[in-house]
Amino acid sequence: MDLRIHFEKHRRWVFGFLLIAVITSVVKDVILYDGSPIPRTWRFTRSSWCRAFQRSWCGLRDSTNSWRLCLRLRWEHTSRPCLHDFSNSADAVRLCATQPFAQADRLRRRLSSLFSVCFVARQTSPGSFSGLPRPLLGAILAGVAVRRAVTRQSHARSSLLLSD
Amino acid sequence: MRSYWPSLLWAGVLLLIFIQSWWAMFVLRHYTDWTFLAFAIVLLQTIALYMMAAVVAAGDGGGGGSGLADPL
Repeated sequence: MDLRIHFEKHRRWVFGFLLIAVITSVVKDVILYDGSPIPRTWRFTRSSWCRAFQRSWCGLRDSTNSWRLCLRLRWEHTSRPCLHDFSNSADAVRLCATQPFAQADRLRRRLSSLFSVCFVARQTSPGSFSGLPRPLLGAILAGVAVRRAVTRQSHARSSLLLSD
Repeated sequence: MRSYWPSLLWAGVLLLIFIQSWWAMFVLRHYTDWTFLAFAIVLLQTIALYMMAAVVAAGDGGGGGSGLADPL
């Protein structure tokens, strides 16, 4: 089995299903949470990256206002995330005030650089926070990078053959 | 089996997508206003992700691949 042949043969299917998944993901947000995942701005700052990561992984919901509490208690003052899924505001206050966040902060630093690209689209989205991430955007970017690399490699191989 | 880095990269990206999707769908346990349309759209996304994995993963060489030919 040659993975290269398999990849070349099926990559259009992969991108096709990826497109379906992306569209489905956006429609799902609109249906379930009455909110568009389109960001208000594409300007990225350190805090927006962190907020996107925190929103995507913490699962904090706007309905209980707990993520705002979390932001106020931990984010704005210490720039550290809350890696918890708070079900109510009291939990948010209690955990934000008592939990040691060193381990969570290390985890955040390790993961944020890896995953942050996946959460761009959600970074400044208005309305209620659904907890639904945008990993597929990261997949698209990775897919485009792969495709470019493959095309570049094919061109290089073609020019090498032509020169021979 | 001959290795090819874009396939391996795709598999890695897919793994991340699945982990993130599992994590995201866990939040849906709080969701109460379910309709069939909402359920169907969640199901459709899962199906699309499954199909991506089925296409990316090569078969065993004995005809056990995805069965999908190149459309173009």
